Amino acid sequence: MRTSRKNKVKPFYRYMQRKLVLLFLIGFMVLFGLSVVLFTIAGNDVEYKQIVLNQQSYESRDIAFERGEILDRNGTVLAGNERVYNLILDPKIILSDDRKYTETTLNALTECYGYDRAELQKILDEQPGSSYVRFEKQMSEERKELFDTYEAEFNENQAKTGGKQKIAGVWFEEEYRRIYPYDNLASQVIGFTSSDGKDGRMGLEAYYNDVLNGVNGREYGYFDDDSTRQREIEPAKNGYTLVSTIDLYVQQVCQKYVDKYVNEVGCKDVGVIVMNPQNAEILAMAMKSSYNLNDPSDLSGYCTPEELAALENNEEERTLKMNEMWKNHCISDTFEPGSTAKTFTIGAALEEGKITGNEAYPCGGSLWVGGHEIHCHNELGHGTLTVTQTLMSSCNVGLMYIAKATTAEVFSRYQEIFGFGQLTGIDLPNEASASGLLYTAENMDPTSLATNSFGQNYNVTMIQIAAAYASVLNGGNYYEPRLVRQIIDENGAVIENTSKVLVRKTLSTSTCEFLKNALFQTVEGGTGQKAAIPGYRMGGKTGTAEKLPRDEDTFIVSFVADIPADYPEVFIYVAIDEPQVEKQSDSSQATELCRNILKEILPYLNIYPTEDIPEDETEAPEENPDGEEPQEGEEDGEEEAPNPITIIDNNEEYNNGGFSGEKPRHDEEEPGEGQDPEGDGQQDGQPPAQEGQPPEGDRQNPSWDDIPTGNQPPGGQPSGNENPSGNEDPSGSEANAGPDQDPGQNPEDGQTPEE
Amino acid sequence: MATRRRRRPEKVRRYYDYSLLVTIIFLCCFGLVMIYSSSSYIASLEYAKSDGAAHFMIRQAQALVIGFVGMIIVSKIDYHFYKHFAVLGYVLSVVIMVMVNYTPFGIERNGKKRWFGIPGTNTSLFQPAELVKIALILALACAINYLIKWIDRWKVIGLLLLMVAPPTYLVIDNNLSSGIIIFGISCVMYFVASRKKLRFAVAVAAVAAVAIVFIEFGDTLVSMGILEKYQLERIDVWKDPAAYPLDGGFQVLQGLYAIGSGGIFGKGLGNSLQKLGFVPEAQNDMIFSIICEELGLFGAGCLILLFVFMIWRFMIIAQNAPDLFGGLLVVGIMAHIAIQVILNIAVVTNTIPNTGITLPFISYGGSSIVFLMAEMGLALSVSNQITYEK
Repeated sequence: MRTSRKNKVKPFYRYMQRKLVLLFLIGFMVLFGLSVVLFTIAGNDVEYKQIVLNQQSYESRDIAFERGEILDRNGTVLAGNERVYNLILDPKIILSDDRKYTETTLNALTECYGYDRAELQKILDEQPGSSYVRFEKQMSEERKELFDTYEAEFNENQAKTGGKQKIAGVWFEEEYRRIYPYDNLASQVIGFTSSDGKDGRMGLEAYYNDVLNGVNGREYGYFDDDSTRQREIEPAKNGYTLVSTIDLYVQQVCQKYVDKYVNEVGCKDVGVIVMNPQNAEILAMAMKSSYNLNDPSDLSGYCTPEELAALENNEEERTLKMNEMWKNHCISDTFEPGSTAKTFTIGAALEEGKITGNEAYPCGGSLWVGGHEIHCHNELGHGTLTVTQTLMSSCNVGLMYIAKATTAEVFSRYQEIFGFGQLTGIDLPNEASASGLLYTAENMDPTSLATNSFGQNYNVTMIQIAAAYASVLNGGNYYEPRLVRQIIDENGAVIENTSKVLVRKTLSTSTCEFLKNALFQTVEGGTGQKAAIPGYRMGGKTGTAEKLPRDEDTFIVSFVADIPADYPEVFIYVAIDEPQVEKQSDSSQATELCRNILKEILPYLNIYPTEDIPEDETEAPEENPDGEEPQEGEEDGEEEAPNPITIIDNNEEYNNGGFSGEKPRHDEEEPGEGQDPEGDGQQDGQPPAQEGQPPEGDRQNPSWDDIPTGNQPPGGQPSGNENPSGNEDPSGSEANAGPDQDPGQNPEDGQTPEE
Repeated sequence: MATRRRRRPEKVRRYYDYSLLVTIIFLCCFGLVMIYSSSSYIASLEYAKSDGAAHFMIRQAQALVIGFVGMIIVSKIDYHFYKHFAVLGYVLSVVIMVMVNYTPFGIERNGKKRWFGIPGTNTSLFQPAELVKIALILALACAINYLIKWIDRWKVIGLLLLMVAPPTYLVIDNNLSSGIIIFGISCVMYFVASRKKLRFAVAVAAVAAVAIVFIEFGDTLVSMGILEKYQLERIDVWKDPAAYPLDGGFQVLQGLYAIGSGGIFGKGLGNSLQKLGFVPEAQNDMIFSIICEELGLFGAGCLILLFVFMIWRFMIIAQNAPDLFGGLLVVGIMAHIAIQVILNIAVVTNTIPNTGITLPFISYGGSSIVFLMAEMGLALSVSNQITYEK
C-alpha cells in the first residue's frame, strides 16, 4: 500500500514517518508504564478492598425508620414517636487536612452548646482515629437546629469572603424515641420498647414487633471535588401502624374504677376485661398494677419506699419485681374460676343431651361425693331447682348432679372445647395456658368432677373465661380474642384487616340461647341481681372461688355480664383477688365494680336501655327491672329479699373440695367420713357414703349416687326449656320450700361451710 | 478485482480504514455500557422523576448517533476540502473562546464557566475547548504544510508559536487541562514536521527540570511569589492524597480505592461499590477507575491495548497519507487521542497531579463526543484518500 502522489504535492516525508514511529513507541511505553502503575495499585487489592468496605459504613449511615404507631380503635395514638438526634463527633475528620477545621469546629460546638472545650479536646486527643463518638444523646429538634444554623451561617460567610475555613466532622444521627401519651394507661396491653425504640419488650409492642418495625434507609455522604458535602439518600421504610381494638375511653373508665376500688377497698389483684363477644375484640383490659410506659423500669408506683430501698442494691430482685409489675394479670395469671364456669358445665351437658334442661335437682345443702361431703354455698339447701335455677342460684349441688350426668369424659372434652388448658391465641406474649392444672378424663375422679362442675380445682386465665363466654354469647363460635383489628401503613392505607379467627364451634345455637336466657335470669332474679342496671336486659353470673389453702378464707370474687342479654354486644369480666373486706367471699365486690363500669360505658358504646326504668330504680338495683314479673307483691313485703332465691344467694359462698390428692380437711373434723373404705367404688350402686351419713348430725343430705339425675320437673314447671322465662314463679315456691325441708340444719361454722 | 477494474477502469481503488472504524464503534459502545454502569445509581437518585437510571446513557447515546452520522459524512468528503476552513475555523474558535471567557455567552456549569451558550437562557451548546482542538489541528496542519521548507528556522518557530499562543492562552485561562492538551498537540505536530531532534530533547529535559523544581522546592517558590499557594496545594495533594481526604485528595483517593479494590479480574460488571456516591463524576473523568474496579486490571489492560491499536492505526494512516497536509492532520488527531488517554489514566492513578481530563470515547460528554467523532471523520477521510498504486 503506497500513496499516489501528484508532482506538486509535498509528501509525508520519510523522516516524519520515523519520528512518528518514535512518537508511537514513546506513547506505547508511557501507556505500558501506566499499566505497571495500575498493576502495583491493583496488587494492593486486599488493603484497598478493606478501605472500600469500611467506607461503606464510614461515609454512609443508616437513616432510622419510624416505628409504627399503636392506635386505639378510634385512631387515638396510644404509642407514638418523637424524633430526636444524637450528636456525633468524627475526630478523624475534625483533625484532617492539617487540622484546618479543628479550631472552627470546636468553636462552633462550644458556642452552640456550651460544651467544655477541654472535654472535646480530650476526645480528639484520645481517639484521633475514630470516626464515631456519640457526644450527646437524644437531643431535641430545636437543640439540633442551633448547630445547623450556626454552621450554615458560618459557611455562607466563608463563601462570601472567600475563606477556606469550615466546620467539619460533626453530624447528627437521627433517632426516634417511643412516647406513650397516656403514660400508665393499658400499660400491660401496649407494652414498651427498648431504649432505642426498636425492640418491643412487652405487650403489643413485643407481639407485633416485626410489623411495627420498618427498614432503615441509607444516606451516602461524600465530598465532591469542590469539597462540598454531597448526600445521596435512600429513604427508610417506616413500620406499619397497629389499630388496636382497645377503646381509649372504655379503658380509661375501667382503669378509673379499678384504681378507685384498689384505693378505697384494696385487693391483691384485680382484672377487668371488656370484650365484644360477637367477634372477640377486646375493648379494654385493666388490672391493678400499671406502670408508666415512658419509664417502664420505674418501680416507685409498684413498690413501697421501703421495698424500693431494699431493692436498691439487689439487681436480681429488682428485675424480678419489674417483671412482676409488667406482667399482664389477665392473661398470665391463673386461678380457679369459681361459679362463672358453671355456665360451661351446663352447656356441655345440654349440648351432649346428657340433660334436657327440664330436670329438677333437689339441693339439701350438701352432697356426698367420693366420701366427701361437698357443701352448697347455702348450707340450708336450695330445695328443688330447675336447671336454669341452679345457675340462677348458683347451686353447687345441682351442678354436681349435672356433672355426674355429663360424665368425666364428656366434661373433660368440653373443657377442651371451651379452651381451658389451652392458649386462647390472643395477640399478646406470655399467655398462660394452665394446662397442667386441669384434670383429664383419665384422672378425674368423682370428687374432682363434682368440684370441677362448679369451677373449683382447676385453673384458668381470665382471657380463657372471657373467650369461652364470648363463644356462648355469640351462638357458639369460639374466636381468638384479639387486640388488633387493622394494620395500616404510614399513609393510612390498609395493609391487613385482621379478621376474626374462628377456632372452633363450641355449642349449638339452641344451647347458647338456653344459657343466655339462664344468664339473663340470673341477673333478673338470681345471684346477679346486684349488678342489674335499670332499663337494660342484661345477663350475668357471679363467681366466688376460695383460694388455696382453703382454710385462710381468701377468695377470688368475679362477675361476668353481657348486654343486651338477647344479642350481647358487650361482655365484661371482672375478677377481684382477695378483696380487702371483712368477708372476702362477698361477690358483690365484683358486681359493684362491674356495674359501675357498665353504667359509664354503655351509653358511650351506643347501647341504650330497652326496658322501662321504674322510678325508684337507681337506688334499688336488686329489684327486678322486668315490670311484668309477678313478684311485685313480695317486693313490697320484703325489701331485702323480693325473691326467695335472693335471700339464699345473698350469702353466696362456695365450698371447695380440695384437690383430689389433698387430704380433705373434713377428715380431721369428721374422722368417721374419711375412713370410708369404699369411697372410690360408689359408682357400683351400693352407696356406702349414705350409710356413713346418719351419724353426722342427723342430716338427710344425700349422696350424689342415689339421687336420680333429673327428669323430675318441679311442680308447676313442666318444661323449663320451652318456657324458660316463666320459671321464676314455681322455682320461687320450690326454693322456698327447700330450707323448710331441712329444718334441723346445723352448720358447723356460721361463716364458712366446710366440706 | 480484475473484472471490477475493467468495469471502472478510470477509477482508482480507494482505501478506507475499517479497522479504525470498528475500533471507534467498539469503544463508543463499550463507553455506553460503562457510563450506564457507573452512573445508574447517581442518575436514579437525581433524575428519578425523568429518565431514571439511564439518564446519562440515553443522552450519550443520542450524541453518539449524531456524532456517528457526522463522522461518516465528514469521512466521505476529501479532506482537502477542509483546508478552506482552516483560517475560518481558527478565527471562529478564538472568537468563541473570547466570548466564553469574557462575555455572558459563557455558561457556568458545576461552578465552571466552560460552556458556550445563549446568554440568559442557561442553555449550553458545547464546550469551545473541543472546537479549539480540532480547529487548531486543521490550522497547524495547513501552516506547517505551507512552511515545511523553512520549518526549522527560529523565525518560523516564532511564527507558529504566535499562532498557537492566542487559543492556548484562552483555553488555559478557562481550563488548564484542555490548554495542556492543545499545547501538547501543537508540540507533537511540530516535532514530527521538524528535522531536528536535539532541540526537542533539550526542551523535554528543561520541562522535566522545571517540574522537579516545582515539586521539590514548592515551598520556597511560593514564598518567592512564583507559585500560587493553591498550586502548591495541588502538588502536596498529589504527593500524599491520603493526608487530604476531604479536600483535593478526595477524588483521587476514591479513584485509587476503586482501582485497588478491583484486583486482577475486578468485581464484575455493575458491581462497583465506589460508584455508589464515593467516586465523584464516576461517569466522567473518573470512569477509568470504575472500569478498573468492575473489570479489573485485565479489563483495563484490554482497553489500553485498544487505544494503542487505535494510535497505531493513526500512525499507519499518517505514514501513508497522500500528502503532507493529510499526514499532519492525522498526526494531530493521533496526538490528541494519545495525550488525552495518557493524561486521563495518569490522573486516575495519581501519577500526575489531578486535573480534569476525560477519557476519549468512554467518558460521558455530549458535545465533546460529537467533536471527537468529527475528528475521527477527518482521520477516516484521510484514509479514504489513500489509493492503491497499480
